[in-house]
Amino acid sequence: MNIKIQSTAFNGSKMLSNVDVFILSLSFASDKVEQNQPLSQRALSETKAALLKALADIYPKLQLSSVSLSIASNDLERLRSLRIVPDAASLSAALVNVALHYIATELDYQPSADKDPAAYLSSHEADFKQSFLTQSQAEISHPSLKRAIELYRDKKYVDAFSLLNSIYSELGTRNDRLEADLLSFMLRLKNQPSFSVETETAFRSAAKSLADHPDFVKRYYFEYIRFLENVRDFSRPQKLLQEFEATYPLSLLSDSELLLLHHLKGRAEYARGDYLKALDSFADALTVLDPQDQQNYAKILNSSVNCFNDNLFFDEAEWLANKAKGIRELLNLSESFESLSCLAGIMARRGEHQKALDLLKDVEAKSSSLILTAAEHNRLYNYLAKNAVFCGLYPEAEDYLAEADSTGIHKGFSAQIRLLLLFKQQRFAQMEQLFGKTFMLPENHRGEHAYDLFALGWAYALMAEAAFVQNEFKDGLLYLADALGFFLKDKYILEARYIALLPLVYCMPDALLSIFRETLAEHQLAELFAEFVSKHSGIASIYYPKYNPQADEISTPSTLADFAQSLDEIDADHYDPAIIKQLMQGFCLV
Amino acid sequence: MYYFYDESGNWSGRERFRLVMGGLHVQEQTDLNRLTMEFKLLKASHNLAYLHANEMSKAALEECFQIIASFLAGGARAYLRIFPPKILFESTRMSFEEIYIDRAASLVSTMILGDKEPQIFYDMKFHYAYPQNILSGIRQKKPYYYKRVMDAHAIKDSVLSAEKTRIEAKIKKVPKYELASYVQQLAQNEEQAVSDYLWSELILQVQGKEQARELFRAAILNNLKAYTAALNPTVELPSLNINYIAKNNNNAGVELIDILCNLVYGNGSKASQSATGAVRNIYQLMTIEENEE
Repeated sequence: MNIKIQSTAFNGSKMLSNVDVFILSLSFASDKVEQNQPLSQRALSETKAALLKALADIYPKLQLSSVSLSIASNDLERLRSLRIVPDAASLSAALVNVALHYIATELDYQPSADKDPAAYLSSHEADFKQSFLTQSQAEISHPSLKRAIELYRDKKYVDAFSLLNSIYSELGTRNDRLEADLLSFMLRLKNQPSFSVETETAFRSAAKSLADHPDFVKRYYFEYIRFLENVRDFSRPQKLLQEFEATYPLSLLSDSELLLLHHLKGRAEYARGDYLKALDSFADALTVLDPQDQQNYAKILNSSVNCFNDNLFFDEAEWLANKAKGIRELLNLSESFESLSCLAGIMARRGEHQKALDLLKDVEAKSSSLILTAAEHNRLYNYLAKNAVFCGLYPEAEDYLAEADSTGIHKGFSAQIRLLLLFKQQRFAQMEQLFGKTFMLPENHRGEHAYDLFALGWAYALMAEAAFVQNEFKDGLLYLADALGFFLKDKYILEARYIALLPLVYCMPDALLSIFRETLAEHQLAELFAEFVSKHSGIASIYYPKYNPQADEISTPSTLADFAQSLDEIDADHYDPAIIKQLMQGFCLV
Repeated sequence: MYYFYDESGNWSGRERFRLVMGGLHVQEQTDLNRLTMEFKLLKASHNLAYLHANEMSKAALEECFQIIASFLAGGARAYLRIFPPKILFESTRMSFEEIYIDRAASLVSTMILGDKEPQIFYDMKFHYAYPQNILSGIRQKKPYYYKRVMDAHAIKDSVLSAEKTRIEAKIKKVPKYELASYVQQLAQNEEQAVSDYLWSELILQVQGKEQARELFRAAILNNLKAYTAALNPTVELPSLNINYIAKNNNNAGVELIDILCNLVYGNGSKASQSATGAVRNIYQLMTIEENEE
């Protein structure tokens, strides 16, 4: 419920603040534990005293002497963090109104139809006594509803559904009706193979009507998020969590809900290329993980692998992927193919493409019995194609690319691998043709159908390299400058620094090299890379022990730090292109 | 109202101890005038060019702490935030500077929220004049107003050697790949090379601060917009007046918050056992927030 309160900012300015406040529980039993208080003890005491006085005016005969109150409010927490102090009297008066509204709503008060809550309450004294003084309003009172919930927990969904339908009309309390609605929604999810507009509408409608009941709302949110996760819908859950977090405090969440939240946040951060924030979120997930919960442990391990792998911590990434794979195989979980796929990614980045290809073929076989999403299908066949290219298996790569294209996903990755295939075959004219039809088109650079910046960066880098091979240095320089721009736009600092070595490998003429160096300085690439290395070279020592506490202390410099050190030692005037080429072949970033 | 800001600790990624950021809020110009005069007298009696904790005698420092304690007791408010150095290493996508701006903007917006005409004075540390940038800047064409001054001035013999040593130390960290021909130029015509470096450095300092201040202003306004949208959409956003002040410019507000940031950097959120009465008073009067993050 939204209230307006007088408040004072840090500098003494007076202001009126709009604040959303939710009552989690309100009880007249003296032993009730109060929790999640965004209020100071003083403000809480004043509010309770004022509420008892207001109720004494409404029900003079009842002589209520104590009340316990649990309140949740993101906004009150925000006020505190902004050092804004609510005026005590104003806050207390507003909270009393919220509490009266809450009590009235529990007694079926309809704000649009009925008069004000106090007047409504005074004409419903018997209901008040029944709901608040003789029974706990948060408990389920109908025995068959309790039984239906038990049946659901025992996975007897058909029986639960029949029983629930048979008792709906008998449910007397509001709490019972809300519990029954939630159970009905949960049963609906069990019967749903994938996302549907109808289910989304049902969820939205329940979340809207229960906006003032965060305890119920959160259960709807998390049941729905878990369902979407199970049907492998990875984008909606993150949006739902953002929505939830914007309105309700996280202190409402249980450990298992927090685990889900941190895990999804970590995945979202990884997807936007923030490895460090992702690892922090995964570490938070590990802190609330039940040690017996191996399935979720494997999920977190698997999601973390690429944060290590992308920053060249191959041994640690391999340990994480193998551990996740072992757990999943032991529990006979179908997701074990994801861990195999991660292992293949590690091999590919190490430059061991044959091993990667073998693993991916295994993934292909294992996943044939599963329903992969279009994105997963596309990714799998792109990976197969890329590794086939590096193994020189060009016709095989063509077949894989055709399969990847069949998904209808066009983010530029398949086109980029096709460009790589043509480059490896030295078919430069065809490369130009393909490039002209795909990566050069403005609509693929921006807007709704834009290619991924990573794919754009690599496509332009490949075109630059092709130009260098043909001694067309000016063209190559133009492509390379664009590639740098794409990588840096999305903060792919390692990739940008890596491709910046190409002019040295191909001995670009001094005049052009000088222009290129100026471009690098304008981008501040050396500084950006130095900062990137200083931030990321500690990933293994900081985060790896959180997953593997038995691991030996890491004392050797990371591949990333080694790479940076080697770059620092390159002499601008006397370098050996062969050594730089060897440096670039130390790992594979494409 | 008037607001003064400073920070302590190395915000460019090389801090092991703690990072501190602080703000001072003063209601009236008259209070500020009084503080300025008290600091002037303190400097005169102890023969100081400016106030810096590390460069004052024990007696001068204690006197300074007494002035500050009584200033805070009179209604001015100091608000300091302590951060662990790891905050700089928690995002791939945000640079050290962006994290610094984010934290600084958060402190400023919290303190000025509700003030319609805040006067902000900031002693900012931004790191734009990197040696690589400077070397690259040497090759670039300069605006005519700089070029005119550059052509009319020559480097003094008395500073040439010291500047050359400083530059050599700075560019040691530059990868050889980036150094190109500058080392050669320095060996062949040191006067020109040193002069070019100094001008390039100056121009970058000016440009960098301008850019940083724009980002800083935008970050503060974004925060204020977000706060007001969440709490009271009818509140009008203030017109921001941000002034860049170096602490050796003798701005009393900036000097005071600089001293407090250094104090908290050294002692943390609690006064040390051996602290004097004035320091204990200051600790009681400051608002200190320790952010574990």
